Amino acid sequence: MSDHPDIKSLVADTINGDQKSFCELMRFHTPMVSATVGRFARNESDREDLAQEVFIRAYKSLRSYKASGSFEGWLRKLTVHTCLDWLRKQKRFQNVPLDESDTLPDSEPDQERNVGSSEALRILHDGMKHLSAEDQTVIVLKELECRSIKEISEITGWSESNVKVRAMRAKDRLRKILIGKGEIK
Amino acid sequence: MTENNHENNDQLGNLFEKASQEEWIPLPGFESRVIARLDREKQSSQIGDIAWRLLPYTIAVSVAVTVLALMSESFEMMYFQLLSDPFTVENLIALL
Repeated sequence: MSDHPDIKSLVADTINGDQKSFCELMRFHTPMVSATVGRFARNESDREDLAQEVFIRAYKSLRSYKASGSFEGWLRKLTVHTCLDWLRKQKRFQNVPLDESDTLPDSEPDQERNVGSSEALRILHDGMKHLSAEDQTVIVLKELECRSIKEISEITGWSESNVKVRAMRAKDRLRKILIGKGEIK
Repeated sequence: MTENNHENNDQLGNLFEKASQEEWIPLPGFESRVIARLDREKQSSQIGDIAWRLLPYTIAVSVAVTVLALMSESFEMMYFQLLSDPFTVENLIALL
């Protein structure tokens, strides 16, 4: 998606205290922010909180946005970092040990299990909560947002080789967890 | 890669594909909720800012009041009484 034609003037007006311009900026970018936030968090209130937090941070750090780059790219980075911080906070408060009951399949998974998008996200999130915040971020960006290693590296600031290795290991760990939970064979 | 790995790769890939179709959009009025939160944060940071700026004056006033109290006659009396007979319970209570 390309930037709104007047994006730079909207940014400048927002910096000068014009809330209408900020509302316009939000209206234009809410779909992108909410799509990403919706993959990191599962319940409505967390998603709403996160999306709000992204725009609050954007408002507070608008001066650091360099007009030479794409505003959307800048906001995407901010969105992912806000989600990553949120995941880290979640991990601090709820340390989820992978105990034996988690690794024992509840039942034999169906051969052709037909799940919807929400159910698929629930299954993945239940497995991903056992991974580190960084591993979850890589999985969301690579597998759910289908971003390239290069893009992920640019967004997160991690080296490409780090992203590559992390993505492979995270996916492998997630697969083992989901097999243990009986979600996949 | 073994057949089993292929199979759970497919199943995991299927889950990823389906989960990526999940779409969420905030409830209507999202922009005004963000503006309201921003205003609340601005207000609380302004209050914090004012409190921070007033802190030196608050300390100065507290010090001045304490000094004045120390210099007051009643305190002086209690002080000398305490010096003359420091270990009576009445004196300690009176000083407190």
